[in-house]
Amino acid sequence: MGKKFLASLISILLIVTLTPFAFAAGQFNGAWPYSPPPVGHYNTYVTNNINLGAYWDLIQQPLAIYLWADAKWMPLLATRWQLNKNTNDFRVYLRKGVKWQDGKTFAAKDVVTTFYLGYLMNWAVWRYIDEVKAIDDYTVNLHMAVPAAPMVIERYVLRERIRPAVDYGEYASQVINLLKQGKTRDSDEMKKLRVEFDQFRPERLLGTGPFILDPKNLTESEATLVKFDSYWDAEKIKFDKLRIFNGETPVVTPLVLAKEVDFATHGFPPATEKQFKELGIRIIRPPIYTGPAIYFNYNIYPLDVKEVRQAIAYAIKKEENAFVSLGESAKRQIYMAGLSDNLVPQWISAPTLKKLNQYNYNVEQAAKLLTGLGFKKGPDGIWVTDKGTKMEYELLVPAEYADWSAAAENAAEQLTKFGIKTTVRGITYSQHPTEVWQGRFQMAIAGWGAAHPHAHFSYYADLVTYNYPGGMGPGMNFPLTQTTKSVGKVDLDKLVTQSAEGYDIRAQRQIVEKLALAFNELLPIVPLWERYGNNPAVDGVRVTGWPKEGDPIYKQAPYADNFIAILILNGTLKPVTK
Amino acid sequence: MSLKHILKSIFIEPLALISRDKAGLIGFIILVGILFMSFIGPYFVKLDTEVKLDKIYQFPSREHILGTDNQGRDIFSQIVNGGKDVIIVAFLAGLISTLIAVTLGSLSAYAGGITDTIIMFITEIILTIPQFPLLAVLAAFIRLTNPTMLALIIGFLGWPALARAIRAQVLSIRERDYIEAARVLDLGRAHIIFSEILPNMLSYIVISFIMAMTGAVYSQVGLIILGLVPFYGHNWGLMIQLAWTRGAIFYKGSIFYILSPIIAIALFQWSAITFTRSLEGIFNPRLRTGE
Amino acid sequence: MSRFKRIASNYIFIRVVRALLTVFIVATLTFFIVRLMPGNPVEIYIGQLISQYGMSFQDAKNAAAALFSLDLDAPLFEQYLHYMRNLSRGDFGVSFLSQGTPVSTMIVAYLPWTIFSVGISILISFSLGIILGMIAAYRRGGFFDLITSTIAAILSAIPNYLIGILLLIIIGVQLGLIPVSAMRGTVSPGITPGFTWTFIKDIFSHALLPILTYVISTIGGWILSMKSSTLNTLGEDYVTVAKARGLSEMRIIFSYVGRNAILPLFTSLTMQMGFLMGGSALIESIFVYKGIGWALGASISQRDYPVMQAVFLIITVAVIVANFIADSFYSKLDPRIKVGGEQ
Repeated sequence: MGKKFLASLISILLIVTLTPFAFAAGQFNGAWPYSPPPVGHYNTYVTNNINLGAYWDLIQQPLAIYLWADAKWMPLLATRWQLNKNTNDFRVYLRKGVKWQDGKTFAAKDVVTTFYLGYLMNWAVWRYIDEVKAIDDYTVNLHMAVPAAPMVIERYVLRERIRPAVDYGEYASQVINLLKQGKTRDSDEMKKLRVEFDQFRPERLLGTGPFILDPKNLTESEATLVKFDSYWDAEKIKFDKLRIFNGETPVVTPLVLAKEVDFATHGFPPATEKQFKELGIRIIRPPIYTGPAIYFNYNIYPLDVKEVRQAIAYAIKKEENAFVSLGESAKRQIYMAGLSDNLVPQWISAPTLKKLNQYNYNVEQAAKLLTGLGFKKGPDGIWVTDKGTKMEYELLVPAEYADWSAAAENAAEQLTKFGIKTTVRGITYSQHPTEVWQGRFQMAIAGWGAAHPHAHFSYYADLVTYNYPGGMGPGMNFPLTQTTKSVGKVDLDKLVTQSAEGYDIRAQRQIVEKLALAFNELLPIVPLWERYGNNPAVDGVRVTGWPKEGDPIYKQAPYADNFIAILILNGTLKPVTK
Repeated sequence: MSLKHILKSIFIEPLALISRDKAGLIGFIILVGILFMSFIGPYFVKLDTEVKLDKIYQFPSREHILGTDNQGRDIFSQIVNGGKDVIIVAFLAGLISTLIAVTLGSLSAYAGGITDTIIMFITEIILTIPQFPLLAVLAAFIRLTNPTMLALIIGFLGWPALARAIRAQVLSIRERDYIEAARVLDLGRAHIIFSEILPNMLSYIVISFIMAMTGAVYSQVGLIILGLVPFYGHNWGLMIQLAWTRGAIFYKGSIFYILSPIIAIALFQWSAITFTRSLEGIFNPRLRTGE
Repeated sequence: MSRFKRIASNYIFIRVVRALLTVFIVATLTFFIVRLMPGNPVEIYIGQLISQYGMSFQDAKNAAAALFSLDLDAPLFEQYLHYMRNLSRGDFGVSFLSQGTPVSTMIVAYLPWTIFSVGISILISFSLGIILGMIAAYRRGGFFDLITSTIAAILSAIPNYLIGILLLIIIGVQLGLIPVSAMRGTVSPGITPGFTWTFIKDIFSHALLPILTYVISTIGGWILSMKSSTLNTLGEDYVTVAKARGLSEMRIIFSYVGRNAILPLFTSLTMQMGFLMGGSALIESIFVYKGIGWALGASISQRDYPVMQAVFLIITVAVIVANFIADSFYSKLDPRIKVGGEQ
């Protein structure tokens, strides 16, 4: 009785005063974190810009989007492209008849603008290309000074969202002029231009995509996108309005529970997921192609001995670690190759796969490896090295990452049970990367792999990012020249670089196989599991048409090429008809 | 004095005093119960470290009276084992900050003049220094293994606010006639402060102490997350933090994962505060004679 | 006494000098502490992109490109002098993470919302709290006292963000009274700011839940403090005298007991009003309320030094001013107090 009174009191207060939202025909509600103005802004080259993540492709379109399952590109602003291996030219043919949301025509100069500003911002693609030219209004040519693998250059170029010359052109032409005068990025003039550009604030996020973001419709709580009627493929778009809600995981959860959001890509923990399932919400699990791994500090004996790391890999039951961390959205890696199991079939041949050790849970094997080194188990159950030191370590983990902290807790328990006493030390997530980069850890949980179809990026993440000298500090300090039983003497740094160079895919595959075998034997890091999304998809409230379980579209890496944009672009998702 | 007499004055008389207020007695019993559970309990209820994949997030049952956590481990055993460090640090931190606050606050108000200015100057600096960055810097230089050191850190950062409140009260009390009388009698500054002034503020000081303890329970979590001490999932305050990031509040089966430590802390504070009802008679003898 | 000596021994003068000195020292300490914090904006930004989104190192560096033009290696003392020079001109600098955004713009955009929501909350919480606390003290040992103290003790032990999320879930999800999306943010989309009834109605309805959360989580402390302070006062002789003189109950409560009991709480109140400039990062993030607390929290995780320093400075000044006001008011509450007098 009291509850009813309270309920009516609150409802009278609020319902009467709040602006009711008209149920628009064809509305889709999504969620993505962003910073509201004045911190957030629309210069998409600079940090803290508002681009709405997975929904960015619906506002500012790229040349193409990658389809992971088919390993090919879905043309958007580009219709076709070709790589000339003799002249090292990558030529892109643009779509005709595309209009910007302000009515102007999309043309090659927009693409040139986009990439020259990328030069100013020191984008990675400029490590390979040295010139971008408009051959005519609908053809752009990028010339490579350093030949890059097709998969690499395609992704750097085609995946890029094209910015409008009308807003950015002035800066781009200044870059081009300076370059014509021979002034590169190191010159004072370019540096000055850079500082100016960092502060540039266009008033809008202008794109060619099917939805318009009007800054007047953006609050700190939500952004409203309305349909662009002159979109070049407008008949396919079935929604009139998109509401994108701001917030991180705990803040978005109530929205999903109330079914006010139709889809979210946040990493929801298992408890929340269980509640979603009870409400009849479907959970989609696209692979993320990365996950947590145990990193070792190579300055500490005996963590620098490969048998010790192999023993650790055997001593942890990774299926258990995966399940307690993220339930069904964590899958242990079978091949332990340093590359997602989802990408392995594209890079590693069957005979090589057979050579990979899967490090299945085997405590006896782990113990055998340690006794083989002359280690003994002490009376308190803790292993003692041949030098007489007890094996007791701290495992550093970001405290706020629910899945990683659960993985750390569980791994520490399992290792302690095995005889390697491990205690967890949590550190706030913003400081964790610094601690790892500065080498201030004994063991740490950090990421392995990368959400990129080319294996180079995964191995770069495993071997270079948190290491000396390629990382932002000494990191794990793992020496990259090693002698292995499987592939002999290797310079892993060189192999990683070479794996992305040149046009010969077959040669690259052979390099990747070498990397896989070396990684599998040396285990510089021990990957625990691969993370999958646990994206709630609400069917039947506003939106329907979700492809069924197992559809290849669900292989899209959610933070690289999210399927939600694709499903809206090709009209698969549609409003519920009343 | 016979043994009977001594036992009577140590145990029976205080108990009689406490049980004059029924609620106060209940508070006392529960407080003792919590202390017993946290300090002696761990010898009887071992921490459940066994991972049970099929028992994740079970609602309370006969087997697991508070349910299970994200690894299928019993929550009740975590509550029993998680209180000791939390209570010790909270108690010490509360004690340190209250003692410093009371001493400096009353001294500052009573002495006035230059002493007051200097003490308040230091107080305001410590009060307004941004604490989180300070602790982050501290965490970069020291790594502790013993959580008791946390009590010192929390205590030394927490006293300024209470010191100002104490000072305000003492400024008022020092003008009372009986204080004037004590001064005339030349009873000495320390005696006047501790025997004449402070006893009149006892209720407020005790309540502030208890609330400082609860504050310290949560401050500990911040320090643990900065990496100052290792992470133990059964520490009550940290348990709340972990359960929160693990979304425990959103699911029926896991809700006890986050509610249990909160109930433990709330019960601890409630029992301590309710217990003071019995002590109110001792603090303010004049209240005893009824109003 | 010479004129100089008279000025120097004037209480107000000493106080002002002390306040300015404190601000200067704390601003300096803040500058160095903030920059000694481990981690720098670049590493943090890149590290997060890699860990949370699985981005490749290369793509992460691209996204963080703007941060690389920051010069974080200039000698610390030089940076400090630069900062102090700018500060004296009222220039708070620009955000590191968002270099086209002056910090002052951020503060002007976010601070008013915090003052609005937290300010109202403190007033409601304090007023209700002291009334309930006093009644509980008067009715000591009775049922009202037990219930009030119990609720106060329990509420003040629960973290405030949990109270916020529980309100959201109960009202928005379980009871389904109001859409969750309507309980977030400071305003509804599309409403233009101005002195219109629509706008005022809108911001109050959006502030309702954050205010409710603040009040529920802080009222317990006020109730318990006021009750204990009142108990102290009730035992005093002058109260007995007043009763003996036959003064009305109301008169005793307000003129004698209330004014004295409130003394320590008044100090806490003014201090809290000073600290409210730091807002509550957690509550503001739960309700996606763009206050200064949320901005401060974000700036700390991102190591956005200029923003951190500016907000901390504002808090420091606010608290010092608040304490100043409190000290000046003591004699109004209790005429016997002579602040600044020597013993």
